[in-house]
Amino acid sequence: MTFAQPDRPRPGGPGLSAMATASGAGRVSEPPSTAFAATGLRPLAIGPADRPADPARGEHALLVAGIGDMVITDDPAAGLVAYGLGSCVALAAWDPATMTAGLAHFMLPSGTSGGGPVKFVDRGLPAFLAAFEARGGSIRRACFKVAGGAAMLAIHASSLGIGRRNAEAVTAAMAARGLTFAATDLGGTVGRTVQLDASDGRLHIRSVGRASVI
Amino acid sequence: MSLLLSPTAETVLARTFSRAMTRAGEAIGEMSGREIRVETPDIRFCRLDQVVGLAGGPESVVVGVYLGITGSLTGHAVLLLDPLAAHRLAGLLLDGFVEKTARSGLPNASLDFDDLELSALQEVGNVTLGAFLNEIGRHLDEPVQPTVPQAVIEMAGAILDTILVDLVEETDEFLAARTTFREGVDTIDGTLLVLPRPASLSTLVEALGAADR
Repeated sequence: MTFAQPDRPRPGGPGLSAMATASGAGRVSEPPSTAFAATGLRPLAIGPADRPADPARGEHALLVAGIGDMVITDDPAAGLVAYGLGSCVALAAWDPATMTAGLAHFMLPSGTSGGGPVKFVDRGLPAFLAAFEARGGSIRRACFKVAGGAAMLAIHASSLGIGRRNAEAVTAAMAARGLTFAATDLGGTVGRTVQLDASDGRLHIRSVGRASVI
Repeated sequence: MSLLLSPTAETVLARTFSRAMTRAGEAIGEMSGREIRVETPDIRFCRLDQVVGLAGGPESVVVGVYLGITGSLTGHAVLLLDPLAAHRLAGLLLDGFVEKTARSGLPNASLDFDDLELSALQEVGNVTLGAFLNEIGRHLDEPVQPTVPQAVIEMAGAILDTILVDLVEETDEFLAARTTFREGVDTIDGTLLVLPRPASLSTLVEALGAADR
């Protein structure tokens, strides 16, 4: 729904914030690295930041679903991307009739603290589906794809299971609504960047040394 | 919860973390036997979406050495090295052993690391974070220790994503400490990122005599 917000001053005094240096920290998103240049993906030209993307110039909007956030569009020329999924899970929805496309970047099965609208699967999935319908998509007609939920680091005893729990939580919450996946790429031990092509509903998946489309 | 600290507590924490990060950078220099320039540490509060930016682009492929922090301060630390820097640093530590295997003579930016190199880089992580924690531990009664290091070759965003998942149940705001270091002509660009568990900071704040009154 939104791009990540730029740095905002932290309320409550200068303290640490004032001591921080400005050496490039706080950059929220960057263009994709060239490390994946050889993966054969259709490159999506990104429009300049100061005006909307202009398809006549070959520019397409690249909408980034930051961690715990979602993006939804009815622009068929757009790409929807979630960078660097580790144990997080990205759910893609695409309605071929209205060309509505959505991408949600879930972090955990459930929880209570604030954060982005889809930080937790339990409350985030209904929010995502409602926003998708509000933008003109039909969840009955939509094609759903899901990717992520890797186990990369043993951070503590249960952390290797978080990816799997995320994958199970999304699958169960979808099934409870009678919704199924057209394709999945879940689990494993490698991180993923996913990009939903709003023109055809294909989900491009990039990992270190590997690329695929589902 | 969010991090509600007094300005005094923030300042004292920032100074302490800054000193500890500098020690960590110096430790890399001592290990490698080269003069390593340590950038002024950057200590700041970040929201979730900003932390990923601290590690460079989320999709940049790095060698990440992850270590947990246990004891009276808990949290996570990760040393992120670009592949070229990682080969070079491992080579310095292994006294040219690995460098000899690069036949072309060109800088080795490949994503192939052998066990010896990864083991050397894990040791770099261990020594670096150890130096950081020694500095922090001087103020605490109970020791703080790093866990066994784990090395992965991954997208920086995916490494951080996995770490952050362990912290976000409590808060969306983090204290993040970051420093970068460089070595003269042969660039060794690396980033050490330390993310203490916010709830565990109060012990340190008290120990530093800067608790809210």
